[in-house]
Amino acid sequence: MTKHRSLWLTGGVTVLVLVLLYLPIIMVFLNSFNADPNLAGWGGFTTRWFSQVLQDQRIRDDFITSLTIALATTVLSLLIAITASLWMRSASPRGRAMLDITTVMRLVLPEIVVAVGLFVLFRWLDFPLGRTTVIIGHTVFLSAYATVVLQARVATIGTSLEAAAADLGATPWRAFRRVTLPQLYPAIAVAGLLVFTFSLDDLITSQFLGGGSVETLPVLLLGLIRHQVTPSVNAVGSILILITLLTFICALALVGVRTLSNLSSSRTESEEE
Amino acid sequence: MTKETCALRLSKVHRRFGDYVAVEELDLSIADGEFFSLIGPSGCGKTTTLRMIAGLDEPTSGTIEVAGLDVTRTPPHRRPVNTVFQHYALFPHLDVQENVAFGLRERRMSNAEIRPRVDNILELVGLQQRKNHKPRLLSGGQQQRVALARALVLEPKVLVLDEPLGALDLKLRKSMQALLRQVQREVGITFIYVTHDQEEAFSMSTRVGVMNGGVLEQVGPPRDVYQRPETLFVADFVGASNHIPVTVTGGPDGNYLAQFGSHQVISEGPANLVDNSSAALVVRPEGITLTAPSAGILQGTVTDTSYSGPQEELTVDTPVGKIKAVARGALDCKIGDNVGMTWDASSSWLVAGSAKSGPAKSTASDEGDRATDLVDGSVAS
Repeated sequence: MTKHRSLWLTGGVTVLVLVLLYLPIIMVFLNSFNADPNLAGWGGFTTRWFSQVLQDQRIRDDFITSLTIALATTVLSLLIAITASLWMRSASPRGRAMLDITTVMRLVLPEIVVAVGLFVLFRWLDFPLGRTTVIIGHTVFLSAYATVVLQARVATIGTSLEAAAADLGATPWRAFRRVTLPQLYPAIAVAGLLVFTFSLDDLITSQFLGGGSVETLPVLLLGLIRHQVTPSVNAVGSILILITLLTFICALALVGVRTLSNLSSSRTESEEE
Repeated sequence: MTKETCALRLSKVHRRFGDYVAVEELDLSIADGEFFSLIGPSGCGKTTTLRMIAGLDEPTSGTIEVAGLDVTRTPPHRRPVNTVFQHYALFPHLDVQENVAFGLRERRMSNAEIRPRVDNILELVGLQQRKNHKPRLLSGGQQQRVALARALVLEPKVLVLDEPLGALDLKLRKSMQALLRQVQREVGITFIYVTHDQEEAFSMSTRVGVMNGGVLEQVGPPRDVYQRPETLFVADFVGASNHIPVTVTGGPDGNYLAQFGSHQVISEGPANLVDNSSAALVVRPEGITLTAPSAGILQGTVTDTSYSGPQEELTVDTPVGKIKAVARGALDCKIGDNVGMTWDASSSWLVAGSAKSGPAKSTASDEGDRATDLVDGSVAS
């Protein structure tokens, strides 16, 4: 009896949480096809909002801006994360602790603190706010996420394969290219995916460091809903959801579902048998 | 050994990790085409020595020469030395063929040159059917053969093998040992083989070196090392042995007279023993012949018997301590029986220095070693 009851309880809570998580997303998605402009009820199916959004020059510009910033942030963060996690292996315990602290700090510090800090810094340096400063801001905190993911992978692959490659005549760079890097692909895909989507939907840093000249999609959305939740807001939201989903599917296709799930259980491939 | 025939020469090689001396003043010359084994317990410095030969570690002082060239500070990728690693270290993202071709591609060879070489070597190790498989789909023995092929295909001057059979079961070990011997004869490359299994080393090698605590205690053909150990450690490590503390004096035919208690026996020994010095008389269990209870050199009571198939091992309590002996054939001994034991001068050997009496603790440490091997072969030794 008690067993059944607890099953109902945990099951019920799970369902409730899932509904609360996904209902808003489903609502946004459905409403983006809602013909009723006031969103008071279901006014029939339409793709009008999408065509409106796609024709809006401002939205199109912001969309491009968001994508550019997300891509640049992803590339920079991955470079930093790969270098840092490879350096970690040969670092002294002291150096390792230092890097760990800087990584964790960037994860736990409220984003707004980092954003304000950078804002003040750029002002003090007289560095003009714009696309570059947003990319720097995103990279500062998102490279920490990428570092955590890559560090875990680098720790599991160890150095024995690199030693074997060196023994077989590979220079350090060739050993990295032919052996270490392929082992890191799944982690790179996951880290890249994280950074890309986080950057795409970031609001705080983008707003603080964008200045007047740069506007990303989330910043635009915030501006739009200040006045009224229009159906076009839902359409923009749906597009963002689709982009995120697409990136995720691409990552899956690239490295395979198995490697990706293996990564989370942090096993090396040689231990799979 | 002249320079041309010397495949590998270590001179005064020393390796310290902080205060810990892993390898101490090691001198060793290995001839071209030799199958040389380094044996010793875990932590004796044999793997460190191997890593220095391969270039994965640098000596604190001393020099390493391969085929007459000083390679002490040469990085691993520029040494004519290849390694078969303890845990194979196969590249999981490459198939068998590409694993084997790895080093050839590093030499910028064309596909046309690479393919026949890879096929040849895979044929030699019997894996041509598996060349498109990923390593994780292979058994331990097959993975080991890929690791061997991957190193051999580069035709190194010296091939070092770090406990390559450590992770395999007994039967597979035997067949891999046979394969290694055959391959070594066919390719004629100098093999340097590290193991803590003395039986394996003895059955495969032209010479063995016994290491202990970073020091190379004895180097020689297996027969010499077994029958004429230079130190008690070597006597213990290369198989069960009994030690009896004795006092030596010169004897007939270059042999010695060894005295213990009221007994006096003739024994072979090294040439440099001083008269009236103390030494240990080393007798192998299989050198002992059982006699009637009142006869023989030593008498005692059987306290333990263990049957291992081809023979029965006895532990006999004697006035000089517990002695291990081997009973062959129809001799039927029970615990509590009184027996006499005798041996020839040629089946005993003298080792300078004083000894604790009784059978060597070697069997215990030997088993301990094998156990660690099974649990975790990665213990640095």
